[in-house]
Amino acid sequence: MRRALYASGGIHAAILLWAIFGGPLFQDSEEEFEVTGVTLLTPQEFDALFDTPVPVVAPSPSFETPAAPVPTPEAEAPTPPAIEDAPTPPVAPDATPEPEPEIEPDVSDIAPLPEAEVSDTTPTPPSPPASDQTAPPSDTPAPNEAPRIASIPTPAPAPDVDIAPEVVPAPTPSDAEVPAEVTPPTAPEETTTEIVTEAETPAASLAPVASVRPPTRPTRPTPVAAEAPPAPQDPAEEVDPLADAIAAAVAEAASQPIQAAPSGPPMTSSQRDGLRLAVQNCWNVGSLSSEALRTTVTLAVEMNEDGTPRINSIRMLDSSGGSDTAARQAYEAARRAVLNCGRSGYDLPIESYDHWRIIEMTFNPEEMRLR
Amino acid sequence: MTRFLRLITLALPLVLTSVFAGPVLAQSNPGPLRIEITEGVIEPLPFALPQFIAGNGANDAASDISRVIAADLIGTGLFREIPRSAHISPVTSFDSPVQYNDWQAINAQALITGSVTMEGGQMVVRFRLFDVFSEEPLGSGLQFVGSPENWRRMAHNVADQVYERITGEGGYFDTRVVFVAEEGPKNARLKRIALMDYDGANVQFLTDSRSIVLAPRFSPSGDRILYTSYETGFPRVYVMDLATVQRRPLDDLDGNMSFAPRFSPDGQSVVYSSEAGGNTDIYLMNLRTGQRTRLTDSPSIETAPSFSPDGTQIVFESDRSGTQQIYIMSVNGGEARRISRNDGRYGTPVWSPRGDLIAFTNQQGGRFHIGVMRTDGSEERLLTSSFLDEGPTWAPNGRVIMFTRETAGADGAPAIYSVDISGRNLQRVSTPGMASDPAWSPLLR
Repeated sequence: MRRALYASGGIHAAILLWAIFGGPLFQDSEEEFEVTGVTLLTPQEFDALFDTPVPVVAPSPSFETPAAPVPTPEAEAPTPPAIEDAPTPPVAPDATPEPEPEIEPDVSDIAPLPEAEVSDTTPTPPSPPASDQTAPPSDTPAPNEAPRIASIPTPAPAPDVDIAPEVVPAPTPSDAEVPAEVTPPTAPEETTTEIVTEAETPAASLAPVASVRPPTRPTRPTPVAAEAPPAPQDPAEEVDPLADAIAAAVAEAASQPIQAAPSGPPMTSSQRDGLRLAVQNCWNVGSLSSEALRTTVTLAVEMNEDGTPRINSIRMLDSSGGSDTAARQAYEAARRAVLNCGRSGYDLPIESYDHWRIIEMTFNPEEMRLR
Repeated sequence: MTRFLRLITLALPLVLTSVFAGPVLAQSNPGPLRIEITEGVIEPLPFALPQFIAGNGANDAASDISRVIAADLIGTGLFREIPRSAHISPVTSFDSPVQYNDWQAINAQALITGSVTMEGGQMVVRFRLFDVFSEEPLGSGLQFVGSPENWRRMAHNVADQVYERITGEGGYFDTRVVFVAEEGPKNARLKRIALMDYDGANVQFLTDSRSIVLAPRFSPSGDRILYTSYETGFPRVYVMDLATVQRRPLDDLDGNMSFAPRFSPDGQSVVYSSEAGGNTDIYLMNLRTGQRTRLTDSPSIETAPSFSPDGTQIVFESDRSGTQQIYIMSVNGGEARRISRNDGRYGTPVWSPRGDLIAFTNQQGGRFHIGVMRTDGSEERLLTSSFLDEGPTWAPNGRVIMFTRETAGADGAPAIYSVDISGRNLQRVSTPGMASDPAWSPLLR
C-alpha cells in the first residue's frame, strides 16, 4: 500500500517539475511578422502622381519601399508582334512585380501605337523595369513568387520564319525556267595509267551477260543390234508393252530440245489489248462477201523492232468456215488491216520484242456478220 | 510385286518430267504472240481510179469508162473513191511502175489503172488492180475488146472484175433490168414493158401502152422474158424473145387467167398461177412439150411461185391458213411446209440465186416491208419499210435486191429502189419515169 503511494507521488512530482522547468511540449514559439512601411499620401499628391506620366527610368527615390510598379504604357499595351509565329515571351523573372489590375491607366494621352512593322529581328520580350535594379533594398526581403510553370509542358515553338528584308516578286513561269548550265567540255578523267587493248582484256570480261540454256545431253547412240552381244534376257521383259511405252515416253520427253527463253518482260494484257484495238480499227469487213464473213482466218506476221509489220512475211496459217475463195478474200482483208494500221508502227514495247517478234492473229468475223 | 516396282521405277521419271519439265518448256518456249480479232469496222473500201490512159481517138471513151467504173463500185456502197485531186503521183503510162508509197499516203487500199485504145476499129480496154498496202497486184491484168458502141458494157466488165477480186463475190454490173414503165395519172396509168441496163442506161421499150402489162421475168439465159398482159381482156402469160421482140402466149387455155410466171433454172419450164373455176393454183409447164402439170390443189389462192436455184423446190404464197403466208413444196407438188411465222402477211417470195435466202414482201401495221429469211424461215430480217414496198428481185450475185416503192396519195408514183441484203445502201434506181415490177437479169455474156 505504501509502495503504491510512493510511486504515485513520485510520478506526480516528476510531472510537476517537467511542467515548471519547461519542455518541448509546452515551449511557445514566437511568431515572426512582417513589417511594411506605409507612406501616407494626400489626395492632391495621389492625383498628381497619376496625372503626369511616370518616367520610365526610375521611380522617385523618395520612396523608401518599392511600391507596386505603376504600369507603363509599354507594359500595359505592348506592341503586338507583327508576326503571328513569333515566340512567346518567356516567363517574367521572379523579381518582376505583378501589376495591379485594379488600376486602370489613363491612356488618353498616350501616343498612338506604332503601326505593325515587319522587323528583321524577332521582338525581344520587354525588359524588366529599371526600378528593379535601382530600387533600394527593402528592409525585409520580398517574398518570392511561386514559379509560374505549367504542369503541362507547352509545345515547342514553331521555328522562326526568315523574312527577307525586301519584298521579292513571285517568279513568273518563264522565270522559273532556269537555263541549263553549260558545262564546258572537259576531258574525261584519266582512269588508268596505261593503255589496255582488247587483246589484253581478260577473257572473262568479254563473256556475254546472259547465256542460253545448254541443250539437253544428246541421247546416247543406240547400239546396233547386230553388234550387241546376245545377252540373255527375261522373256517377260521383252514382251512387256507397258514398260516399253513408258520408256519411250520418257525418252521422247527427254529428247525435246529446250529453247532459249525470250528476253525482256512479257507483254501485259493492256499492251495486247492495245495491239488488238489497233488492228481491229483497220479490219474492214464491209467489202467482204457473205461467205467470207463466215470464214475465220489465222495469219502470221513477223514484226520489225519499230513495230511495223514485214510485208513479205505475212502468210495465212489456217482458215475455217468457208471455201478457198472466201478464205482468200478474208485473208486479204485481214492482211490489209495488219499492213494499213501498222504502216507507222504499232505501239509495242521494244523491251519485249522477243515476245512479239512473231504474231499470230486470228480474225473471227462472226460478230461482224450478225450486225 | 517385282514387276510393279519396276513399273514404278520406269514411270517415275516420266511423272517427274511431266511435272517439272513441262512448265519449264512452256515458259521457255512461249511461241509467237497470239491475239484474236473479233471486232472490225464496216466501211466502204477506199480506192483510187486515175483516169484511164487514152490512146489515139479514145480520149472521151477513156474518161467515160473511168467514170462508169467508179460509179459502179461506189453504187454498191462497199467502195469509196478517193478524189483525183488528192492523187500524188499521176499515172502517165499503163505499164509504169506503181508508186505504192504515194497511194498509201492517201490511204488508197486499191488502185485501178487502165488504158483505152482503138485498134483496128475495135475498142480495147485494159486494166490492172493493185492491193496498195500489200504492194502487189490483185490478179493479173485483163483486156476487153469490143465495138465502140459497147463501151458501157466494157466498163461494167472492168467493174465486175474489180468487185469480184476484192469481195470474192460475182459482180452484177454487166446486167440488165426489165421493168414496167408507167406514165399518166394514177387512175389511167399507161404501162409498158421496158428494158435497161442495171444502172438505168440504155432504156428500151418492148411493148406499147395499149394494154396493161405486169410482172416481167427474165429467162436464166437472159434472152427471153415472161410477162402478163391484159390485151385479151384478162390476164395472160406471154413469152417474148428479146432478140426479135416476138411474143406468144404461154398456153392455149383461152378463158383461163394466168399470171405470175417464172422460168425454171434450166429455162425449160415455166411455173405460174392459173385460175380455173374460181380457184387459183400453181401449174408447171414444159416449154418443149407443152405439158401442163398442176402442182397445188387447194381451195385457197396459191400464187407467186419461184424456183430454188437447183430447180428441186418451189416457194410460193398461199392464204390456205387464212392469211397470206409463204410455203415451200417440191417441184413435183405435194405437201407444202410453211416457213413464214412472224406477224403480218407475206407475199411475192423469191429464191436467192445463191439458194441461201428467200426475199419477200411483208405487210404489217399498215406498212410494207422487203425482207429476207432463210429457207427454213429462220433469221428473218426486214430490210425496208414504207407506204408500199413490194416485188423483190435478186441481183445475180444474191447480194442486192431491187423492188418497187410507191409513194402514198393521189400523186403517188412507183419507183425502183435497190438495197443490200444487210439493209444498207438503199438507193433509188435511175429510170426515165415511173417504174415498177423490176426483174434482174443474169450476167450478160
